[in-house]
Amino acid sequence: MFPFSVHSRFSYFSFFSNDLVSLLPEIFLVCCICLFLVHGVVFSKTGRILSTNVANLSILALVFVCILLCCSPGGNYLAAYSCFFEDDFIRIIKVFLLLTCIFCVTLSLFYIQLEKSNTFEYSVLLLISLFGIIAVLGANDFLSLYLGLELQALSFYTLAANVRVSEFATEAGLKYFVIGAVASGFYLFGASLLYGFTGCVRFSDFSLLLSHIAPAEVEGIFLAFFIFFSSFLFKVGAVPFHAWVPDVYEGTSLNVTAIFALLPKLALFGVITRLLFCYFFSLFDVWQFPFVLCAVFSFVWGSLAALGQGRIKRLLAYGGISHSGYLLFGVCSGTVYGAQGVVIYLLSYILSGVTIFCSLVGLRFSRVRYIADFAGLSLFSPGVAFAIAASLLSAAGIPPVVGFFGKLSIFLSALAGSLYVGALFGVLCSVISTFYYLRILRTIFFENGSRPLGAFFSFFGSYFSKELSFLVGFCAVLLFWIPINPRILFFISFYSSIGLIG
Amino acid sequence: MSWLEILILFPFITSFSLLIISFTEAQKKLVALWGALVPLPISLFAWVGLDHANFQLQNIICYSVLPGTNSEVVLGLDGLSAPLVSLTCFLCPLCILAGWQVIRVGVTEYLVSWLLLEGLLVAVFTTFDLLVFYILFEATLIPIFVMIGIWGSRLRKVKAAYQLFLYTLFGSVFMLLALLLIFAQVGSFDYGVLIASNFSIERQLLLFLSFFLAFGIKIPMVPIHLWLPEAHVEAPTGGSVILAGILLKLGGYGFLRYTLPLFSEAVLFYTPLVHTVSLLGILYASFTTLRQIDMKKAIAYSSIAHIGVVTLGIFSGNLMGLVGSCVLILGHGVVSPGLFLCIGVLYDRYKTRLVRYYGGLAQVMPLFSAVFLFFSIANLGLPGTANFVGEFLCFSGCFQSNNSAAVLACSGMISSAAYSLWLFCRISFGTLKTVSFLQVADLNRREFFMFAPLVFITLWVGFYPKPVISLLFVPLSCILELGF
Repeated sequence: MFPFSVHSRFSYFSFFSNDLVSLLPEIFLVCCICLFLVHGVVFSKTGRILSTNVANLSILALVFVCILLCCSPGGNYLAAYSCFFEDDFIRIIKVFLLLTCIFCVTLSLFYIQLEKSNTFEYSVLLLISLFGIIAVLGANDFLSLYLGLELQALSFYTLAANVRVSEFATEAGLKYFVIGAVASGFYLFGASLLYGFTGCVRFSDFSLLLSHIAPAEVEGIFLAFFIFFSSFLFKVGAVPFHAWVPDVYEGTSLNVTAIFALLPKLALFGVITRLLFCYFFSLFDVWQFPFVLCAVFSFVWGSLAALGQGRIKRLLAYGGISHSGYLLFGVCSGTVYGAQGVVIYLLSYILSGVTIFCSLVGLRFSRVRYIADFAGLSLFSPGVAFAIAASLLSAAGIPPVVGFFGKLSIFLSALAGSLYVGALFGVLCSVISTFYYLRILRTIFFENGSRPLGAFFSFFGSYFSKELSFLVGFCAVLLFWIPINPRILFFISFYSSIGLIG
Repeated sequence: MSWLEILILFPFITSFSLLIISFTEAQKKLVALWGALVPLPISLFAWVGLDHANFQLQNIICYSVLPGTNSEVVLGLDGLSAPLVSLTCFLCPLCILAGWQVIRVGVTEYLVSWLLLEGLLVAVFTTFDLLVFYILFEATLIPIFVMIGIWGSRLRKVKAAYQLFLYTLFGSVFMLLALLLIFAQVGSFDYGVLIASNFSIERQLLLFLSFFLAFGIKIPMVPIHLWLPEAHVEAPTGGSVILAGILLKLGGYGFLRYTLPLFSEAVLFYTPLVHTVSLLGILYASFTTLRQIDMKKAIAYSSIAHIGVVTLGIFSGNLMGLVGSCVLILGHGVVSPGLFLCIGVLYDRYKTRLVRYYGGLAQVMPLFSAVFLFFSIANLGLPGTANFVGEFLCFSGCFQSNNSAAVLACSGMISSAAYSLWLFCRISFGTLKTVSFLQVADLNRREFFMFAPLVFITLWVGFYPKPVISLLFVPLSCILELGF
């Protein structure tokens, strides 16, 4: 397939003997996507509302993919002529991606029913983007990585502009599209430069090449490397490339915001960690300092800019920027602790993110947009108030909640990697971020607002759907339960980091 | 289940049952009171049953966090932590009693946050793992934050809750960094391992400063004390009681448990700094107390002055000072809650804490005035009260190491007599002010039974401190042996 590859072993039998088994979850997912699409197209002519139906079906499909993934043979393998790679690290991230995606579909289901939107394409697009993300995670060369990234990005552009009547959504979709195109351009430019300078397409060839010759001997490789990686920084919203994040968060509808906030971060940080730790580690001396700068600026800017925000979505967006900073900081430490820290931080981020977005979607009926709209929530709905409090405390990294363990392991990796000044900035910024998260808690618990919430609650009574309230409760309890019994968290992080390194 | 587990888990279980079982309001209060009270006899038995001559941890429980590695969380008791555990279990029921009639909104949440706080505090004093200590140290902030923010008295409470949270968090994130630095070197958070390990001098200086910032803000030392008067004034009575009684002592406990044994060279290096800051605290806080018009603020500043004496004792570098500081921690943990309860009694009746509205209360509330007088006198450290024993030992310890500091501190404590008595006189003597005619009611039975044990303990430790002191000798001399 790629004649210039070192490891290319062309065999007709490998597909059926090996690849079919190892790629079974992905193949199943693609089949489901096609089926749902056909199902939707055929039955939408009959005039039935299909959005709920397809969303339910896709939850079932995702659960099944998850089971398939958990039952996969395990170990490390290459598939499809070494285009895809899988090890324990990737598998764990994939499982969490699928779980997160199930959560996202569940909360979208509620949203769809609430808004009475009749677009079954939404769930299909989400599944397509999920497939893209999974391809990104497992990619083993520049081309498959690019194809995965584009598949994910294209369906995300459409998702962003999902609410066709809203000007904000259209603007957000357009912005996201333009920025994404620029990022893809960077990716292609960097990748082609890397290929041009070294002649390698496969990542494992890269690491082999770089371990045998001094990187400085390959001229231009540093430039190519940074151009290549700046596209990833674009996508995760790290600081010099962060400007699109708040606008896109604000413009898109709430369910899409949840997807944008949760899914790509999980996958992209998995990929970044794997690329930097496994394949480009010979260039560690070169990439460490610039990436540390990016990380530090991200969390400094994320936490400072969030101070002035009045809208909850923009605040979460800036919070997301600073979370990206912390994650990147963990990667930059270049230690095993760093890989563990990234996994733990990602898990806590997902948990708190799911909790807060589910609660916001549940409060959607009352049009909560500004932080001030939360006033008196604890009086009307103590359960939701507790869930939001737990998730915000976790995002701020306050000790008894699981987010603390994320921050702890990130800072531990930073100190183990002698990034003392950065760690100092990190803890100071976490204090600043606590300040604005506490501001929301103050509004929820200490202020007795009478405006929208009061009228809303007296009128509607019970409004969360069963699934949504289960989801909120489950995540909120997990946020407190995991710190009491952190074994599972540490076990996952150890296991995945061993998969990554060894 | 060992005693220690019951001690820690009982408040949590009670709070959980409050949340899931539907009691009436009166039943809830009773359940919470008993839930907070049951650990008290257990902790007293555990304290009395400690082996005095044994310097090691007792009643140990180990939890393995990660099977197959040596990451074990150790819980246990020793002579230093046992009295603080008992004090916690003693004060929390009092705090629930203090809000018995006043708290009308969110009774369940109020009781639950008290029980959670009690459980967390017991756990923080029994843990012998630095990371778990840090986690619980921070976790105690959340109940007290909620308590001040929701059940505080004025609109300013939000600012006070904020200050409390952010000041403490600011200090402790530096401690977090120090903790991680320690872990990066030692590879364990276990107390026994930490004590056995050595840190280079430069690293010790850095680590000491970070720990000092965390504990100094908590205890609080003078330039970083600003959150305390705010928090005290805005908190409900129970909140002030637990703040003064236990939460401030966490800082002192941290100094004794972690700073002294772990960073011994740095302690020697920084002793002049700590002495200076403590002296500043004593003098500044004593004189500031004189000009306060809010009663709670006055008591808050006097707490800062007394805490200055405690830190002088801790950093005096000899056994007498250390024992004195521990006794003063206990004594102040009984006397200042008494004072805050007195002010709470007044506030419940007349809804103001400003001194100028009060006067001549001795004529209409004789029992209250007697109790208030007793605690005022105890606060100024009259012989026969617990504070006297503590202050005397602290000062004599300090005289051995630093004459001038001791002299200045003693003279600063003279003004404690001035402010305590002056505050008492302005409220209890003189002509009856108009506010006192509104409602004339002396202590009721609930309030009397709140004060009686406090008075009893103050007198007992004042006259016969041997049982307390003899338990402190062994652990403190261990710390001294390791530290200096």
